Amino acid sequence: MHFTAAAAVPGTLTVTSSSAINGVVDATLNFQLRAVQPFLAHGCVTATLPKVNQNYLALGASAQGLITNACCGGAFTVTASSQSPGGATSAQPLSAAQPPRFQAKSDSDALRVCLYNAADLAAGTTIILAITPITNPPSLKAISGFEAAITDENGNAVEATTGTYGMGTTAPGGFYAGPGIPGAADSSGTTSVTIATGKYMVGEADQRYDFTLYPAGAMPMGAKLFLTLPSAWRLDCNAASSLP
Amino acid sequence: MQGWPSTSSYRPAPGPIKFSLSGMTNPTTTTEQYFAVTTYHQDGSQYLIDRLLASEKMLKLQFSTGVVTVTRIMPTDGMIYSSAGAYNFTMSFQHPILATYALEITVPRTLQVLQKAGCGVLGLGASYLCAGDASGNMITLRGLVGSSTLASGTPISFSVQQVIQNPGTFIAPGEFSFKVVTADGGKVDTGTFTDSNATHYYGSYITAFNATSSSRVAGKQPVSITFTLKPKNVVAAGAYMVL
Repeated sequence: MHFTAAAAVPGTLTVTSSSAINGVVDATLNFQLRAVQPFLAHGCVTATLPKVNQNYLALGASAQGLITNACCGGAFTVTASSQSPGGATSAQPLSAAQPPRFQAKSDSDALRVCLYNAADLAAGTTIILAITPITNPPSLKAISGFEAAITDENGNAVEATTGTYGMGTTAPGGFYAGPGIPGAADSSGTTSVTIATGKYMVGEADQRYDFTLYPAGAMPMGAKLFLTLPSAWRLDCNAASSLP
Repeated sequence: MQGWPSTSSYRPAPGPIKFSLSGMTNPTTTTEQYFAVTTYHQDGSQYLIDRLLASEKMLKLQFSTGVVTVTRIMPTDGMIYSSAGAYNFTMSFQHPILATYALEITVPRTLQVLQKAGCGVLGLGASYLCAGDASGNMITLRGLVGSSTLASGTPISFSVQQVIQNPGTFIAPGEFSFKVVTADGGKVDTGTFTDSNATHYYGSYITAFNATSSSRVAGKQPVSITFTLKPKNVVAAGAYMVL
């Protein structure tokens, strides 16, 4: 029998994505929790995952989970490993009796993962969960609110992180060229610009250019769009523009 | 240019986002043009969402030139080698011609454009500029229409004076090419005209001929006779004379 330590003993949590690019939907989340206490045999980790569009929720967005489509029955995988205080890494099997359990909540989601380590892991061991697929945050503004708790196999608290941890990306997403853009209502849509009158002759005046864009990331209310014209093409600043 | 997409709703990926630019004038180049787009989440600071670089060539437009329609080219002086006459041109343009546009006429190599900083043109306004470029065999005309605009499709006729030298043989001139360009060199209209008429040109003539004997004594022999002649035009290298 193990004696559990008091809850809220601080652990250290590092959360990263395998992709540095905004909005990608097939990245892998690396959830690295360094336990202060020994990690008990058959111990479990509960990860608190903020909504991926956390920064947009106040703007009218519907909450979207970090794990791609996990809310809606989509498949995801979790693999576990550990790194000893000395740096040795070992794969850790998951408990067949208690498979990963995802629970969607209103402001964040929870994922409980139970390992099947036969013996206690030494104090200071880092438990690493690789969760795939996840969706990266839609903008370079990081999301925060990651937390972790360690319990024994019966759910008794061992330790937990204090405070919250964040995760961000460093590179903007792109635009889909199309056709066949995933998630688009129009399967023939393409990112393109056309001339409404069909007059593609040089020097034609009073033309309307129609732009259609399929961004990888969501556009929240108040978002800005910058359009850069070709350098040798002067913008007619007297022209009325329909830019919203 | 920047804008704020509709603020009435949250727009999930992948959109689409649609917007238009109205009242634009197409550029005067046929080189492909690429737009770039960047979207930002505005939340106190600006946070990049998505970026489309011009180098990705996803948002592109390419434009085509209009047509110069040439209906007539005629020399007023058909004598071979002559540059004393004029060449009459009649043409129209698919685009309106502005005062700032220039017309470049590239002349076939059967003819020779003379190097001239200024050449005379009849039929244009008072403020025209004409230049002959011998190396490029090209004539450039500016100020075709003065301060007004020549409407699309309106025919104009003009006569370029003493800047084209006729060929040395009785041949058809061949292909002239025309290009209307903006002040910064952008192409507006282009066209060609092939003059396959071989009857434009005729021979030059001798303006003076004199023969003088070395002796005026009847029956004296031998004597030498000196012929003096003055050709009207250039005598080409390798030319010969039949007496």
